Amino acid sequence: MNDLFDQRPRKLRCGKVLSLAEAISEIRDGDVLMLGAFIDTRRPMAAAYEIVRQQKRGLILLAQCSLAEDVLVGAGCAVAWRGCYTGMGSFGLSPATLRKTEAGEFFPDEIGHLDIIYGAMAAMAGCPFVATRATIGSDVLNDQLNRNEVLRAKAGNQSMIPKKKYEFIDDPFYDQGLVKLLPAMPADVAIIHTPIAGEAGTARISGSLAFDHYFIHAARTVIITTEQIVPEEYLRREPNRNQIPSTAVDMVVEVPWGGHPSQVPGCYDTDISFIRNYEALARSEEGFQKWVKEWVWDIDSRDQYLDKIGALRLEKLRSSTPAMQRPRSTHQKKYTIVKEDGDE
Amino acid sequence: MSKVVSLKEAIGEIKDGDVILTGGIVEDRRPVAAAMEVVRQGKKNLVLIGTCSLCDDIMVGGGCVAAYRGTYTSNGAFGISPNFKRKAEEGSIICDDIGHIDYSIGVMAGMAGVPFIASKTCIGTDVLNPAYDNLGGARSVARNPEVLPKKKYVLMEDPFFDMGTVQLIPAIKLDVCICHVQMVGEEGTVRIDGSLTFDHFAALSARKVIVTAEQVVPESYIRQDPNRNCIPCTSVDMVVELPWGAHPGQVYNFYDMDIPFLQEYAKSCATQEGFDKWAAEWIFNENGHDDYINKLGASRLQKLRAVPPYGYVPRKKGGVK
Repeated sequence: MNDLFDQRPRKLRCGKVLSLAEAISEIRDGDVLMLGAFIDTRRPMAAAYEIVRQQKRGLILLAQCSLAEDVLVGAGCAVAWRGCYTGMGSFGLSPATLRKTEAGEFFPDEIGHLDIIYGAMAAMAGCPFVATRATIGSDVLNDQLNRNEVLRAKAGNQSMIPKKKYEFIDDPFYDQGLVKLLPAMPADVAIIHTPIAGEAGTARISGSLAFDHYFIHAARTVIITTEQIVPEEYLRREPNRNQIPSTAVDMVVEVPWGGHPSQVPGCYDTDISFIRNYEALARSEEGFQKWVKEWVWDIDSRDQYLDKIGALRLEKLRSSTPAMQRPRSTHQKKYTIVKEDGDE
Repeated sequence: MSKVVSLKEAIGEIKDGDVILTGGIVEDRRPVAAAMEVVRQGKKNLVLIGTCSLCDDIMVGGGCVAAYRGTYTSNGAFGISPNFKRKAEEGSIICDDIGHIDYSIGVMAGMAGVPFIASKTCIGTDVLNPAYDNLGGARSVARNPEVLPKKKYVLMEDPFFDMGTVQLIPAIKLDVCICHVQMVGEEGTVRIDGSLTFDHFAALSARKVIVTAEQVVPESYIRQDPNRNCIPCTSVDMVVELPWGAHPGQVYNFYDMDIPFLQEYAKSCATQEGFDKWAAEWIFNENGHDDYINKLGASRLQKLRAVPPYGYVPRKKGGVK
């Protein structure tokens, strides 16, 4: 926490716009990593594939373990996780996480839903901890399930993991009784996927921000992957629509469809069959290896990834205004033209 | 359900002794017309949170405020808030100073619903000097003392990140929050242009939220671009349309500061008689805010109106001759 705002030494570059491979190469083995947005919305999927490709090891994940994170767990990049959610929404539990946790190869440390929000909020504000009554009386505070020591032992930078998972104190201010002191949740790296971003890093999100506007201030290194890089000047014309300031951002990467198969409100909807296929295959090690060979190892470029999915399939996912998603009726509802005389 | 009410009705909901915060900062987006109505209705014993400039200073001058707990008591470039300065020197207002960051993270904690948050910001300053701790005084005048914390701060060792001694800052909770904004829907969804200051936090920390706005629009319009909205309608209780409701302050995209008016205010409020005379002229009108803007006059207001694409009045408005 103390060194959260210290610049981490990086390769010297003159601009923030990089290739995906360059940006991901700044992640080190053992880093504490935060991936933006949640479940199957605005997930930095292309960045996750690149982390797999670069064979990063020993990463510690924060916040949640769904879709993007599950790929990292399955490929053996991530070793531990602290957060509150290990599902993929309506597609079931994160299959690789479930399998590896049961096999004892992956170490989850559960905190509450509110804990990740407050933890990120405290880290954003530079506060070491915040008090809350959330999770009191739940198994989040069960010492048998406390893996704080595992996280500390495995983290490349130990100062990112608190010395304790929590502490109790009597509220001295408002008579709320016993409250939990919840440590801040800082990270080495945060990766956020947005619909648009400027060349200098200002980013604009449509739809839910999730907690990305906290995460970017809670991490030492911030990578933005975006559907479209636009001139910075264009975004600055309407500052109230921007949520991520350029000052918080270190690297910007343009990756069209970089959130596929998750949805990006305003750009495209969830690729349901893709996620179903992943969920079915990733339940077994062989299945996951088959999936990762097909969609990561055998793919040489983003262009190849997009071509493999196919233009027609992508076109069907593209969101339509003003719904910002793909309304069901656009493919399903058929209109019949009725002629004036009543004949079809 | 429409939440639109008159200014009189909205301010009528404030009770004597309420803990109150006014939105905006210094002379930017201050709910001045609402503060003048507070004076008009003769509210008493309010506990003011946050800053004490412009609209807050008017309430202080009007004798509505018994205690103040915050970080800043000035009118920006126009000098220290004159009524507050006079009353603080007389000892007729209870004053409890907290740090700038204490205010912003305190109100953030209030927004999140947590009782307190840890920070190192004020350590080594007189904010923590027990001789200046007047929180007890503020609690004694508040209608609901439980809205204010029992202690100003607690020091403890950071058990998590070896940050040494940290200060536990209690959350800021409020009875009433009044914000002045550019645009609000009939049901209370708020859209702010320019700096939000801490309005988006304060509105979620208050039991009662009054929004005065330059413009009330159909709720369906404001919901079309939800990413531009800053305060959800679920947090707002009353909505009042008040064009020029922040004059003589500025409202980005609507109007700029009325500098001569602010200078005159600073000058005339040096004494209580001066303030009373000023108040008789500008506050105690028959038709309240309507008379106020009529008295200012159309040509004066026209000169203050912001011009696109600046959002304020540039010096070279009308081109260089």
